Amino acid sequence: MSERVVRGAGVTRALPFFFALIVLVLATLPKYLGVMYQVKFVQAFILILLATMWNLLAGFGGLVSIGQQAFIGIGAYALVYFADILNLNPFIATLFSGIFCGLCAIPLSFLVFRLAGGYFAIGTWVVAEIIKLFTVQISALGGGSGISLAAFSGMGRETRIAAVYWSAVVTIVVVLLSTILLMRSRLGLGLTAMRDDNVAAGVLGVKVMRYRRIVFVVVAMGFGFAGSLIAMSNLRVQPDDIFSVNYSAIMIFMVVIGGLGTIEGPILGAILYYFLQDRLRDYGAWYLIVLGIIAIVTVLTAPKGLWPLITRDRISLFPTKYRVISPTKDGAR
Amino acid sequence: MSILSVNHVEAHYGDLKALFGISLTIDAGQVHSVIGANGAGKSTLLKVIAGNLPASSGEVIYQNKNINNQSAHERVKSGISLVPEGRRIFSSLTVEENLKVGAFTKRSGHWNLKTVKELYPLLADRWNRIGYYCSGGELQMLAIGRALMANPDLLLIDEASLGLAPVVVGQVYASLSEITKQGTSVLLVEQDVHQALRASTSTSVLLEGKVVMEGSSSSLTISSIKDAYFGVGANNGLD
Amino acid sequence: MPILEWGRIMVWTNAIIQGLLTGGLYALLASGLSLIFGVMRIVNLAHGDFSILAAYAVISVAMHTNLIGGIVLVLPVMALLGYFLQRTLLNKSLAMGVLSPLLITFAFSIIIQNVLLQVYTANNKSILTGRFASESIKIAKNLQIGLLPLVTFLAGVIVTICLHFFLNHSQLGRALRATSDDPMAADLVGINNRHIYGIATAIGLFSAGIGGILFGMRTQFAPSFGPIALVFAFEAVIIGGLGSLWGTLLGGVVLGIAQGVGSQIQPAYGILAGHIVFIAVLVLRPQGLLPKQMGAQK
Repeated sequence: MSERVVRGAGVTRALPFFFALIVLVLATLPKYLGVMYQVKFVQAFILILLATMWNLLAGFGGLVSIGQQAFIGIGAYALVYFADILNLNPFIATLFSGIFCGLCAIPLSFLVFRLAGGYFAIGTWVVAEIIKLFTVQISALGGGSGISLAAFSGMGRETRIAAVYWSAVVTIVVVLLSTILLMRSRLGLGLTAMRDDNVAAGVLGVKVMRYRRIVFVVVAMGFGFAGSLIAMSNLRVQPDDIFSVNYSAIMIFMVVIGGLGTIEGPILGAILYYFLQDRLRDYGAWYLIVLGIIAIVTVLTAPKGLWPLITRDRISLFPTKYRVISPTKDGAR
Repeated sequence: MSILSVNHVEAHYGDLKALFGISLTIDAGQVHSVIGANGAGKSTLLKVIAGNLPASSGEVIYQNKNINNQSAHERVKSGISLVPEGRRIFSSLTVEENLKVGAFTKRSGHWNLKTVKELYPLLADRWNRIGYYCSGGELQMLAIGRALMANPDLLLIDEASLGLAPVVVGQVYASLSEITKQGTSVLLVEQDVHQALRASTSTSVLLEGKVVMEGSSSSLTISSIKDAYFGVGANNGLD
Repeated sequence: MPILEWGRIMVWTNAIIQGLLTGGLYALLASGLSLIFGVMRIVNLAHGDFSILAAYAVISVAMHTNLIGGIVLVLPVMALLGYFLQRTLLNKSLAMGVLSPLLITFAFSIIIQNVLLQVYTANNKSILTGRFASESIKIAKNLQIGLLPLVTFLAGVIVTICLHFFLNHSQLGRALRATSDDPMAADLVGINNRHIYGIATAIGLFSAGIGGILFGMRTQFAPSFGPIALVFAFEAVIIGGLGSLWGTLLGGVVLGIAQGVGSQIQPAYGILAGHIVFIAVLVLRPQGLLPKQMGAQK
């Protein structure tokens, strides 16, 4: 009797159950939680979304970018365009703005993939700056001072916030599920192989370039959704804010602290960052300095992040890792 | 007088044990060869002596001093130079620059650009050629020349003849006598058993990380070496 | 009519010459970035921030001594800082894969910007040079070159020449190139890699410091200017060609001229024009204008 390869075990077996439970709880929260908490949850969801996407790009795709704010900005502006100017339902508009970002990512990938490593990182940032400069030239989008989102103006405040809350829940659930499915697919296996050894993966038939492009485009869509959510929560899009490289700094921090290359890590990092910035926000520049120092210390002492450190690399909440089960002598498992 | 003494040295690559208590001694001014099948631990031994791999136990005694704690670049200053497997020439530097950088530790001695050129006239013709474009034989001579520029008292050569045409191998081996004449001892790792025996005064045979045979090169017979090489006759469970 | 034409030609010539001179500044910033990358494959994301740091440091020191004293004190300290950071933090991260050095230098960038913000506030500052900043040399009728831009350009050229001689004709420079080719083999000829990497970063930050100080003399700056300096340095490196010292000088000049011509068309278009040239090179000739031949100077 030969060995079997299974995905996940133990904890992950119960996962779909827990997942559905959590989603149920989150969905009904607005009934019991005040508006203020819904807003906080939305902020946290956005952070989780950003961290998960950056991790997908860097941890699994091997592409370290500090220019992903380009897609956050494009997503935000696209939302305003689709919702206000084309008068689409804001939630349909979110979907479309994500798709639009994905489409933009395709030609951009051909451009930035000509660079590698650290220069790729700066290159994506330069591209983000260029996109910002072009966007500011478009007067229909408000130019340098930005544009307001009018699509919600009919709704009452509580309804609007609840609506944004639910779209955030839906978005994060869809994105997380997609990420898990992606990592379980052939693409995911290929990505893990690429991450471990580029050349070997290529030799074994993994289409490195194509997979990288797919990840780049999918992640762009995710950032587009994030941009849309940000636009919907703030009701205003300003180029200097939405295209700010600070988003990259925050994403990197969350993923580095939480754990690069795992699905659980970024979520942990996002939650940690949420509480950190909540506490330290009042200290202005100091909190960024502290974050920077924490990041350096983490990179040098716990390079895999907190999640693998805490779980000693053994627990995986999401069923994406493989295990080999060898038959015991009497055939039992 | 022995210049190098390796005492019961063990070495690991991670969890994999590669050397199981190797001991050997080299006398000053001599050529000592180490032979054995692939994977026997020959390169590993040189790495430990040169300082690229730490000894997990045992000592490396060089010029009567225990150098276990000396890093690789410090050992070059002390007079040990390694010509590594694969030569590892600096590919963007010219032949001349490769030699010049070999003198980084500024040790004094017989070897300089002029004398290395005399030893390997072929290099003079390629003086300004970038390392990337050099042929196998040129690379080997350049690698040895570069190591000589540090004026070592102990020269370690890993796989001197690997991948080289017989004519070139002959030239390389012919230079060994000049090298020892100038006072440098040589520890030679070699796949080619005949070549190794001809060029050296003493030989050690390695098998699976242990010394299974040693003696003066002139007294060792090919057939006994063959047995030691492949572990025939020894208790290794091949029956 | 002819006078008008001549006037317009002069205006454009002036724009190009200004751009050329600015290019020297970009080349200065870029050479440090390029050296650090060439030797260690580290892209120093804080390179621009270090150059701005030097400018601020000169302002502070000059308050107690004078401008010359400031420069003389700050530049060696920048070199020492680079050596120190490389040997303590960056060397450690090198062993951990490609991602770690990138993350650490990015963290440096955030830290430096915010420390500067705390200490100096966000208000624009500049290094006061008295009359030096406004002096100019008359070359032809209607054509004047500012002394400061000229000095900046010459600094860029001189630093490039010095680096060329250092890398190709000195033992330490050869050691840097050797370590870049094969760190393990460099170990075998007695080169202490950790020390060499420190030297490379020291030189890198030294030249970044020169660039920052000259930049601070001609323009007002704020803590947030670091990233822009990095972008210009990076574009100069890519336009010129990775790994090529003279390419970096050329890249800086091309970028400067592109920006100069662009801002002549419309002041707001200056930086954008530079970006467009950068994108064009990336699309049409990704290896850069003077790509590194195997064995060419770094």
